[in-house]
Amino acid sequence: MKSLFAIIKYTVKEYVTKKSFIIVNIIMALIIVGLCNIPNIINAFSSDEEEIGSKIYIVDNENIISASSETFSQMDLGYSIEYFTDKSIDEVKQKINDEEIDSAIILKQDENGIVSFDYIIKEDSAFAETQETAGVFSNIIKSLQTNKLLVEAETSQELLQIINTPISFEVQELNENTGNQNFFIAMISSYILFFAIYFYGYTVSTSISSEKTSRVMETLVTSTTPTKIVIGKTIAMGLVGLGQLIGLILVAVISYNIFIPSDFDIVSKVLSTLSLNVPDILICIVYFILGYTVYAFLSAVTGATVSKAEDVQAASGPISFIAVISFFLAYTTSTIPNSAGSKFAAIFPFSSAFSMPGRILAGAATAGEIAISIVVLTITVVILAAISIKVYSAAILHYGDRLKLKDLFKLYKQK
Amino acid sequence: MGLQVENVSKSYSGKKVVDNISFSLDKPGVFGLLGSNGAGKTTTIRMILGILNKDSGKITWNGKEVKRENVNFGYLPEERGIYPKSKLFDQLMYFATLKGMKYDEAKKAIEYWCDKLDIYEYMYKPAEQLSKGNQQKVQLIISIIHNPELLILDEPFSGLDPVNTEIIKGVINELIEKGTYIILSSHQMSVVEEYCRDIIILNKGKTIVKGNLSEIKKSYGKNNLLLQSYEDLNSIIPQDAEIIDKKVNSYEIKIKNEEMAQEILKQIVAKNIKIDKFEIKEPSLHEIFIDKVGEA
Repeated sequence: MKSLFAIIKYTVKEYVTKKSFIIVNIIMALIIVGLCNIPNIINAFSSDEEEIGSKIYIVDNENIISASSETFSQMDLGYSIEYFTDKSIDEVKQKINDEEIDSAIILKQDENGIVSFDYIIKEDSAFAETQETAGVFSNIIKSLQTNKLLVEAETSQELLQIINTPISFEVQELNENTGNQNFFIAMISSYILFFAIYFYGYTVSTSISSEKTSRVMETLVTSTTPTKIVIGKTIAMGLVGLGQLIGLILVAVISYNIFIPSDFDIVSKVLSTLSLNVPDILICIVYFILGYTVYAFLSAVTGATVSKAEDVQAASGPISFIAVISFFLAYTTSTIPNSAGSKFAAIFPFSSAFSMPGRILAGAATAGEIAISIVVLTITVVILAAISIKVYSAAILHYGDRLKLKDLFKLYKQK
Repeated sequence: MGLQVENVSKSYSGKKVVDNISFSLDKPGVFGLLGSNGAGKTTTIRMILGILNKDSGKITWNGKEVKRENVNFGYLPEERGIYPKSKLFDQLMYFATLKGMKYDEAKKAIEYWCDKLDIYEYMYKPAEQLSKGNQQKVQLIISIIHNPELLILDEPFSGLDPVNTEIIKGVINELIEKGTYIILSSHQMSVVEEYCRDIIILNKGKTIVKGNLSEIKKSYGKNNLLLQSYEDLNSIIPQDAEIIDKKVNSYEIKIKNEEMAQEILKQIVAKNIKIDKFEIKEPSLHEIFIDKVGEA
């Protein structure tokens, strides 16, 4: 046990004191801080423009709705609205052309009393958005007109109150686990887990091959057992990976709280769709650990089969292939969480770590599925550990050409 | 008790690299494991250390089957290797901990050996900044730091200058005094002759000579004549004599009998040649090695 700790401690220390590791982390932290500052940067460059962009005139020369500027400002529509009952339409058009205001609504009424309006805008560059804004105003004007007509018809205050109260509603989800709207989260978590798992698995491989390259291996295997070396290195790189992920997430959370303006709500909208809770996060960490362990053990074998550092890449080919195929399986099925493909990806041991956490975060996984998938993954870890330790101890003393798969089978049988 | 290697064999892909070899170290001291390149020395060492499984035979240490878990062995491999980026102290501490030492005990041992081997000043420098010879000393420390009962040294002197060779010889003497069992594998026959009581010579996996070194030599008889002089010796060397070694100021020749040596001595006196050395001696290990390995 003591020597296992020694291997973990030494491997972690060796890795985290590397200049490349420190520089990469500083760059990643700076990128996160930079991304969190994007809203501030946008605001700094566009603050004037935004004021103009949100300025709308409502011209009601025929006095159809008899409202006031206050009526609109009370509504908090996100626009700065001014209401006029005697404004020259040409003047309004001029202001729009001069970009003093963004758009204007010119109210009209025909001989039958039917109200319509022209929505004047300089350039309709965002068609859908224009339609949406006009639609919002259409509804508001309709209700103001209704109100006016009801007042004119001397309707009682109580009735007016009832008519003016918006109809409230509540969403009741019958099947809470459909979670289709959260596929975005599933995809993101697939990405993060794939890169983290694959990258740190790969570092186990380079760490072992570097010990062969520097010929320190022979001294090492006579100082402790291969089991301890493989497990120690796997744990060490896993800890480095987990530590780095947690560190970067902390940087992200802190910069989010410091730099993201409170009125910038895109991120919070995304986060609010997540039902993040502690057990879910813990299960995701378990998947990271198990998924990483699967790939780390495979990489330990790769690292042991090569004698030169430049061969690691080529030797990792088969593992990269398995990882990439599994990732695509998880990624492409993540948008349809209830499909058979997605369910398979969540249980298949090489892809479950990329797939299942996303399903859990999106609320698409059942407890039974999670249990089966964790059991399958754990069994795979145990089997791979046994095989990789055996192959590792046979392969590490081999120098020269890279060992092929058939050589490994031979060594496995011989040892 | 000590180390017993009995009828051990190992094959790779059907080819026997170690063929039924046996030897034993029953008291502390240095045992010579010799052989030409590819004779099976490293494979034998790896089997003794338990990092390679044998096909057949038995290896025991103090009566117990050798397993990686129950051996307190030290090993200086022929292939030198240390962590290049890591500070000397850190990696020595790492290996000491792996071998079960406590921090304080390990620190004391590291300081003692670094001082003894004259690398104390580099203790907190990355290993890659050290010369090759000094890196070799670091590896020697790694192999002896935990006071092993059995120490295997594979070519401990290769690439060392005379000063460092003397330093390492001093360490080996210290370990012998401490009662360490040492297996020395080397191609430097003079060193083996200096230290080893018993030897084994392997060739293509087979044992070709085995036993007590002085007895092996004795069995060859005193058949060598060594002559040393700064004068020209050509005139006194018989035409048909087999020359074993010829240097600037010395000759070593094979003699058929003692009379032949007496005849040469008479000539030296008659010709009034100033002689520095006249010695009738046993063959050197170097000679025995070439003789046996060449013959096999």
